[in-house]
Amino acid sequence: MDEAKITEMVRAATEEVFRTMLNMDVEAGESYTEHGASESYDGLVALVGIAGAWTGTGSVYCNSELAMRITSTMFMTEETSVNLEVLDAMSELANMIVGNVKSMLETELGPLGLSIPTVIYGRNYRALSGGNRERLVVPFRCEEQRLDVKICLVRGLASSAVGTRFAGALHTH
Amino acid sequence: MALDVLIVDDSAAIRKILTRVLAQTNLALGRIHEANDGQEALERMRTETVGLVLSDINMPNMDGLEFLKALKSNPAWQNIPVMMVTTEGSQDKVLLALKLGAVGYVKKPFTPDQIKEKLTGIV
Repeated sequence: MDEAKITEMVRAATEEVFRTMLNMDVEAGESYTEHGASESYDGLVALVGIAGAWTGTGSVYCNSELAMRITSTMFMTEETSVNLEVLDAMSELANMIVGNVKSMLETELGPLGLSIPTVIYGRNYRALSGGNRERLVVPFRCEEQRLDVKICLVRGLASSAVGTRFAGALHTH
Repeated sequence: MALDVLIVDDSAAIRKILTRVLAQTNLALGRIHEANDGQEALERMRTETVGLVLSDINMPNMDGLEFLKALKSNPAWQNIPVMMVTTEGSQDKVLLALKLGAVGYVKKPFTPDQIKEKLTGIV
């Protein structure tokens, strides 16, 4: 599927979720494709599996500072550490962004399903989902911090195979 | 008489947000109960007197459509209004939820006003 079209879907979904649920602005940057393992991150990644005639993953990356700000806004609290609330807020944020992208993709790709989100918090980690397949990365700026939304889609790959890749896909170093 | 509400969603974040939104409405709502999935929701229904249900569709163990079907097949619960609050955008699933007896549908992400507006028409 056309990368420019998926980029537009990711931008629309991310902007809508931030505006509607958080009353926060995000500024989209230039999208690009990523091969192999991701660059090294500090912070959180929330992963949602996509299954159907096309399979893959949608993921949201940000640092802990932005995750705490998002959670504080979402729950009207003042989060000062990456606790269960922060993990839960990031999980739901990814679920809504990827869920809305999925709804837009379905108009062209047919019915798709989503997995329950997984959130990981760590330092100096790299992630690999979808093996060595290309992933589309749509970067955003929010509250002067970086947030990346990544989409990897493969036609006709069994969902169990994606799950297996997921299980061994995260590397810390 | 104040209606007790059951919020069914596997996301604690959404349960917390909906609880806050409900507290801000001027509707005659009583206690708020929570369930993580359809199975847990049915257990809550057996032990609590619920007058309104807000339910997600995509959940583990028992999804919102199965829960809705089970709820509406019980004569004691069939008149309880159920509103779906979900990221699910599939027309088929939304139409099925309405066919199974849901009284409304709100798509995530939502604003507090969207929830209040829908509930005003229901409660």
